[in-house]
Order: sequence, then structure tokens, then C-alpha cells
Amino acid sequence: MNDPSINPHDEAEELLPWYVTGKLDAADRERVEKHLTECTACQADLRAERALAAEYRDYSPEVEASWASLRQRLGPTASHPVAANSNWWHSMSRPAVAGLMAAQLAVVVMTAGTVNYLNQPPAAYRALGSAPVTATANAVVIFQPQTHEDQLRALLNASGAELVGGPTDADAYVLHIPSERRTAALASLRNRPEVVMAEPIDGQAS
Amino acid sequence: MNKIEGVIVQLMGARQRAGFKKQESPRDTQLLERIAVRDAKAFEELYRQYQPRLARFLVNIVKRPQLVEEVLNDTMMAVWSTAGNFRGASKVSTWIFAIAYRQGVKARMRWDEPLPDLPDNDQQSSEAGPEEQLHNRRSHGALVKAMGALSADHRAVVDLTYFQGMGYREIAEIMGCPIDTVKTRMFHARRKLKAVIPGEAGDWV
Repeated sequence: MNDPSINPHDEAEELLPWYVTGKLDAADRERVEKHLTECTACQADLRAERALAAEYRDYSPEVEASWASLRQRLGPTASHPVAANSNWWHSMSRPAVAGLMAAQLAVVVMTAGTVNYLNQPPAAYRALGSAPVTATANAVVIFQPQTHEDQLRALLNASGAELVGGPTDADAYVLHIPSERRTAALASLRNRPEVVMAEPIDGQAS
Repeated sequence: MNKIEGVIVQLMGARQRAGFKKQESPRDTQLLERIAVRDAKAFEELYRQYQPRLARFLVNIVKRPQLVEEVLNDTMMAVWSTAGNFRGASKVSTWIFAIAYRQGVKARMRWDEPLPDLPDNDQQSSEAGPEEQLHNRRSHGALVKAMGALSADHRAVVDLTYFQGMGYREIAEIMGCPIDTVKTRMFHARRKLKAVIPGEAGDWV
């Protein structure tokens, strides 16, 4: 491992899985950490590595193997339970049917009193960790892993923070905090035992 | 963002050093010593401790759930009958997993009937709506498929690393191969698995 002909980047790239699981000896770990501080590609790889390791721990090969063999016994017919829905959808392409169904639908919608709701602009669909966002990210926070969802929510609410993204692979949450409150909000977040890190970030990600 | 990333990397390093270590208990060695003198109670304790880990590991190699129990019990019978040969040159867990690996490979070779394919993931058709697609992308379907496409040896290295918490030297010992082979297998397996895992680098904001 101490062969000087080994490229530090290649070595770090190979060792990252065991860096993530904490199974490197001190010498390996030091070399990986040293390289990580200077290589943005490996920093990105580390985040991907953590995401993969976490995903894998939730994966159960026993269940998958048992399901694969049971699934075979179901035969081919059970694979498209939405067939009825597809027919219904195709029939909608016939104008008379479509018109009739639209009229029925309108009655149902009105009796349910949801017209106002439908007139509202659609809410932006924002998934955790998904990219394009509406608010400008200006802060990032990492919570202790054992922090409960209700604590996390209370802290974000108390800071006036809006969740822009996350959790990222590094378990970081990207926030928007109104600019006039940001400094104070981050300072109070940092004082909380549940918070590992709370830092400002400026402008959009480059 | 670079400065922040630097901070994160340091923080993560500190966190990793703090936790996620599965240390072997000296208990394993004591159990094995008792098993060597035919103590069935010690054997039962060792069995109960290793059965879930070995079942998971073996299904990656033999793929057939109905074969796992047989191979697992063959493995533990080998532990029962050869415990006296254990000299402590490696950890007990490494020794047991190495027996399991050899038994698994043997069983796989014996059984040449073609394996059932993993189920088609019907939900992942192009007709799925955006929410459904997003859900599927985040679900395990893709990982399951990608794992199924790996070779048994690649799956074994992935499981020993990510789930069983083994270092690359232990894995080389278990699989009876050079350390570099372990690293290369892991490297190729990760590349295939990462291609299907969402949250690839860069989606910070």
C-alpha cells in the first residue's frame, strides 16, 4: 500500500468504501483524508459512496431472492394489474365518452366543493434531495443522526427557515432563511446540541 | 461551495471514526473453545449469533433461498467438527465466513439449473406518472436489479463490505484471493450500483 508508484487518487477511489464503513487502518485513512481535502471529484464520490452504503443497508437479499422465486409461481398474468385502468383511459379518446365522463366528473367535483382548490395554481412538487427549487438557498445545516423529526421541524420553524433541499448524501439540509434573520438564526442553531453544523452559503450553487 | 464541502468532509471523517465499528467480541473465541470440546450450548449460541448474517451473505452467493439453509447448516456443521483446528490466526468471524464462502461456491457449482430472473419491475414502465417515477427512482427496485446483474463474487464483496462491516484484508482472507482482487471487484461493483442510485454527487442545492 505504500508503493510510491500508486497514484493517490486511484488509491483513495479504491479505498472509499472502507473509509465510509470505518474499516481502514490509520495509515490508509490518513492518506484518503489527505487526498479528500484536495480532490473535489473524490469528495463527490464520497457522497455517492455514502448514499450507496446507506441504500445497501436497507436492501434485503433474502427478501428479494424469496420474492423472485414466489413471483415466478404467480405466472405472467398478474404482472399488469393496471390493465383495467388502461382500457378506461383509452376509451377517453372517444369524444362522446370523454364528454360524458367529463360532465360526470364536473358534478362530482362541484358537489365535493373542491372547485376553489382546483383553481389554485398547482403547488410546486418538491421532493427531498431533488434539484431545481424556488427559494434561494443561503444556509446549510447538519443535524445529529439521532435527531427526531419533530425536533428537526421545531428547530427549522424557530429559525424561520424554509427547506430548500436535502437531506443530501452528507445528511445536510439546505435552507432558505430570510436574510435579516440569517445570522441570528444560524448562531442559535449552532448552540443547539442537535446541530452538528450550521453555515451560511451565499447565492445559488455554482 | 468548496469551502463547505471541505468542512463536510472533515465532519464526516470525525463521525466515521466515532462509530460504525463492529468489533469482534472475545466471546466468539470462548464459544469456539467450548465447541471444540463438544459443548452444544455454546454451539447453539454461536449459531444464533451467526445465522442471520450468514443467511444474508449466502443468499448473495447461491441466490436460492431454499438452498441457503442447507449451505448454512453445512457451514455450521463444519464449524462444529473443526473448531479444534482454529488457531486464532484470524478472527472467528473471518474463519466462519471463509467456510461459508467455500460451501456457498461449492453449492452453486453443484446446482446448474438456471436461476429465475428477478421480477420485471412493471412499475418502471415509461407510462408511469412523474410522481410514480420519482418514487421508483428512490425505491430499491433499481438497486435490486443492479445487484441481480452482478456476479456472485461481486455481490459477496459488496455484502461483506457494506453490511458485514469487513475490511478488505478480511474479505481477501474469506474469499481466498489477493487484496487487489477485492479492491478491483469492489470498484467495479460500486460503479454499476452507483449508476442506479439517486443522489449522485453534486445535488447539493
